[in-house]
Parts: sequence; structure tokens; C-alpha cells
Amino acid sequence: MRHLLARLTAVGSLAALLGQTQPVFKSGVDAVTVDVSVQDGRNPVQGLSINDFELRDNGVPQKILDVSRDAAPIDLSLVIDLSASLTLATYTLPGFFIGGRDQWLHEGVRGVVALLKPGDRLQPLQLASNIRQVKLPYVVGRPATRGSHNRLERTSLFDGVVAVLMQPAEAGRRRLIIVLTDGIDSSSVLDYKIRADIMDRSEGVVHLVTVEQTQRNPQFADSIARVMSVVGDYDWILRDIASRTGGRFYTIGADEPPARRLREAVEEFRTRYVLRYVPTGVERTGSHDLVVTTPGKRYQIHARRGYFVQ
Amino acid sequence: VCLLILGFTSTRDSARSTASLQTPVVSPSSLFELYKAGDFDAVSAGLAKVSDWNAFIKDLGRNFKGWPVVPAAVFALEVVAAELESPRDRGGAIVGTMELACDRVRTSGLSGVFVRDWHLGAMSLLQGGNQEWPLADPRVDFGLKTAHVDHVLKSLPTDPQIRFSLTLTEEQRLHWWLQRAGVEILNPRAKSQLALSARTNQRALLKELSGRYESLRSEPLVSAEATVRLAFVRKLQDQYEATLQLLREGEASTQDDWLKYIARLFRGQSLTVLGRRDDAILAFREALQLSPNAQSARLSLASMLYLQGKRAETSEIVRAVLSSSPTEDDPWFWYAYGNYRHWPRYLSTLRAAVR
Repeated sequence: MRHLLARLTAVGSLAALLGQTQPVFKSGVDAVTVDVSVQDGRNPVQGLSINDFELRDNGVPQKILDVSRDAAPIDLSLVIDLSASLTLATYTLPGFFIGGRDQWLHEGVRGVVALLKPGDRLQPLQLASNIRQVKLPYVVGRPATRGSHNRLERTSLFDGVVAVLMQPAEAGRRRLIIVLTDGIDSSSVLDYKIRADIMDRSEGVVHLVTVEQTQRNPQFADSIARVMSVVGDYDWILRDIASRTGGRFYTIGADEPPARRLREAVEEFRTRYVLRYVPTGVERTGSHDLVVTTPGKRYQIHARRGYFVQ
Repeated sequence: VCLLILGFTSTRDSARSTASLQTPVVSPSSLFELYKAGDFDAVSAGLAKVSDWNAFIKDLGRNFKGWPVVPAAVFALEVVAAELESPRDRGGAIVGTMELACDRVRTSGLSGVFVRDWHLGAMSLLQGGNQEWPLADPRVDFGLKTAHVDHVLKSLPTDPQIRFSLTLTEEQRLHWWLQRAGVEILNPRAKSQLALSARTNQRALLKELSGRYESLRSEPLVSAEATVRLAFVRKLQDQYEATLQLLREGEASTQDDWLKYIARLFRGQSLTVLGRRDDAILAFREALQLSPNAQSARLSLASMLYLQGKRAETSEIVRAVLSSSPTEDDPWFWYAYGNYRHWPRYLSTLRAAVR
């Protein structure tokens, strides 16, 4: 834990993250930046230049001014789902009563913090009924007093993601949001269309790292299985969040610690290209649909779908 | 409330795998003696120390039938309430305790106000059973469930509070489905045949709830909440103008701030869908007058402001949400738990009967 705190200090305190943040909306200025992930299978594609990309803003091809990689510091919001459906496994799996899930989370968070570079900033958040920012040591321990979480503890996963996305972006920095969750939401209130509109307009990239059914709390497993059997594609809404924000959807298999996937999520973000352009031939204000391609090449592209200028 | 439980308990066995090997530090008999003497605080403190509910319930079962029925039945509800507070072994032990007590009340020959109050208390506890929701869970055998509901209704056929509570229990079936993917079942984007089928099933349940709440609107004791809950059903049926009318009526006929908050939140949500965003903002602000730190109205308001480009106020609200206390309450979080918010009041009434 001491190492973890030391690293935090190195990358900047939470107070710094909050206090220094200026409410600047990057898309409102002349130049627009877009984070783009380019992969060939599971491997990031390196060495691409301006000429390899095509970017359309509201259907109009744009002149890309420059392409960079890993140039700007990252503001990482790490959202840990501490709701009962995920964390009660701590109490119900033999041998895991003391420290099992906490240790599991601890390793994952520590792995992410280790990947931060000077200038990067971390905002740890925990999610259950409410979403709230926490001090880092807190996020890996159960904050509620024993028992109090059983009554009325619900999960506002989708609302929580939207809350984090609505935080102001800061010019010259890239925003990554990683959510570690089992994907169960029981208390969000925001309408699907409103959520989608906000995701489409925000600048954060959301990577969802979800725990597979086998890792979910056994108390909930058969309930979830029943819903899944009716819905079929249980995780489509999570993939939708990732897709709208240009992020990725990862799953953690049985007995797999989260550290590897969390690390993968951060490293994937580091390998992204940042395209910059000044919109031309389109109305400056209003909604802008974005499409990024690599003509002539069959790569997998992940980029946000649009932005909005007031 | 005299549940069904037989088939249900077995589905919960997997959740008990880590039941502590410790023996109970307190015995049901010793606690019951304190309970009969009216030392409720000592009993609550004792129950909070139970670490192995299965052992405790077995011990309780060995002695329960010999105890006087009124204090025994209320004591059993206290045990259930304590189990709900415990992070361990919920589910099987909870429903097992309730079944024990239900059987006792049912076969005791008791009737009248105490039985009604006991059923209301018991149902409120079960409705507060977080993810368990035994009465609402579709896995529960409906034949047994119907038999039980029939039993309660035959005992108290016209009591509006009982009818309302039973309807809340039916509504919890809806909330069970509304969890996670269930929410998306109601979303037109869910395209699979199975999802379409599920949506159809939800429509039948919504229609059933609609009829029940409509009939309860003429009962003064429950009219206001029945009206607001009917509005919730109408909202899920995409009847937003009807929703707004019901919410106006429901809010105007209650002094209950919890219910007023819910009505204002639903009003804002309906206005949002209708595209009347300025009115929605007003509704969310009015909700926050009643519960200033509630996340549901705060984020609803922030989302509207964000989409209107009012980023400074959005940021201020989001910052307040993210820095909120871990124990921050939100009336919305109680909504799916039916009458559980009234449990303290029911308990107070039942304890008076024990005295």
C-alpha cells in the first residue's frame, strides 16, 4: 500500500485532479481531437501517419492536421463496482472470507497505478447505489460497516458512468475511464436516450472490464442466468457504452485476476493515435457525427462517434 | 406471508457455503426471555452478534412452538430484520424464519388487528429483503404463492393496507425484471425474439398492476401512493400525459415528503421523454428541495443541463455527487422495496402488542 500511495503522490493528488481541472470543452475550440484505437486482431498497429487515416465529420472528409501517440498526459477515472452482487462473493466463497475480494481488487488497482506516468492523474471512484470519489486506499477495502450494505444497497452503474463522463474535460489532456464491474444495474434512473446522448457528446473513452458469470456472486448467479436466458445478449448495453465512447469491452474469466485486463485497458489507451483537425465544410455548432477509417486496410477502429458544440 | 418456502430454500443453499463453524454466541431462548420482558434493545444487540444464522434458526425451531404466540411471532420478525442486516447467509435462513413464524400465526386461531399488523410487518420485511425478494422472485412456485395470498386475503379480504401491500409485492416482480438487463427488455433496441417475448410478459404484469392500483385509489389510507405507483406503471406503458396527470393528483393528496420526491422525480423523467426539458429541469429542482443530496434527481438534473450546454452548473452538481457521503440517502433507492420504509412503524406497533 505504501508503494501505491507513493505512486499516487508522484502522479498528482486527488485534490490536484479536482482543483486544477478547468471547465474547458475541447470541441468548442477550433481544433478537434479524437482518440483512435487501431488494431490488427489483438495487436495495436504502429507506424501509421496522417495519410493512413480518413476522418469524416457529419459525412464531410476532413483534413487531419497531425497524428500523435501518447503525447498528452492521461486523466484516468477508475470506477470500482463495490455492489453486493460482485463483492458478496467475498463472503460466500470458501476460503475467501477474509481479504479474498479485497485482495483481488487491490492487486488490480495497484497494477493500474503502476502504469501511470508523471503528469498522469488518477481519480478513484467506487460504485454501488451511489458513485463517489474515494481516497485510494479506501477503494480496495469495504467502506461500509458490515451489514449496512445489505439494506437498500443497489447498483447505479449506468448513471455512475454518465456522472463521470459529465465531468469537464481539460485542454491538453486525454481522459480515460475504466470501469470494473459485473454489469448488473438495479437503480439507474437516466433514460437510455439521455445516457446515449451524453456518451456521444462527451470526450471520455470508457473501457469496461466486466466479470464473467462464473465470477459473479453465486447468490445472484441463477437470477442473472434466468434474465440472460430471456434477453439473450446480456452484455449488449455494456458494449454499447464502450462503442459510443470509442472504448473497449473486456471480460475477466473464471479465476482470472483483474490486473491483466486492467493493465491491458491502460496500455491500449497508450497505443492510441490522437488525430487533430479543424472542422471544415460543416456547421460549427450542434451535433457532429464522426467516422474514422483506415482506407484500404482491414483494421479494427475504435473512436468516439461524435461530439457536440454549443 | 406464510411462504411457500419449501422449494425456495434449496435454491439458496449455495449461498451458505461459508456458514461459520462457530456456535451461536447467543441463544434464541435467552433472547426470547428478554423479549417477553420488553427489553427490546438488549435483544437487538444480541441478534447483532449472531454469526451463524443456520445454527441460530435450528435452535429457534426447537423451541419456537412452545412459546406464547404473540411475542414469539413478533420476535421472529425481529430475527428476520437482524438477518437482513447481516452480510452472511441471507436468503435461506430468512425465509426459513419467516415460514416458522407464519405457520405459527396461521395455525394459532388469532385474528383481528394484531394479525393484520403482523402481516403488514412481515410483508414489509420481505419486501426489504434486497435481492432476495422472496415473494417477488419468479422462481418461487406460484401455486404455493397463490395459496398463501389467498390465505391472507381470506383473513383480511377488504383491508386496504393488506391489498396495497400485496400489490406492492406483485410490483416487485416487475422490479426483479427491471434489474440490469430487465431495464433493457423494455428498451425497443432489444431485438431478439426472447426479448420481445419478455416485453410481452411485462405488458401483462403492467396491466395487472394498473388494475390493482386503480382500484386502490379510492382507499384514503393508501390512495396517494397507489396513485403515484400507478403513474410509474403508466410511465412504463409509455403513457406520459396520463402519468403526469396521476403524479399531479398523487402529489397534491399527500404530505409525505418521500412520496412527493418520487412524484417529482417521475414527473421530471416523463417530461424528459416528452422533450419538455425546461419543465423537466424544474421538476428535478423541486425534487431536490425535498432531498437536496439525492443522487437520482441530482444526476437527472445534471444530465439535462449538460445536454443544454450548461457545463458550469453541470460540473458543480457532478462534483457534489462524487464527493457525497457514503451513507447519503436517496428516496428512489427505497422505491423498489415497497413498504419496507414503514418497517420501523410496523415494528413499533407490534412491540406495543408484545408489551
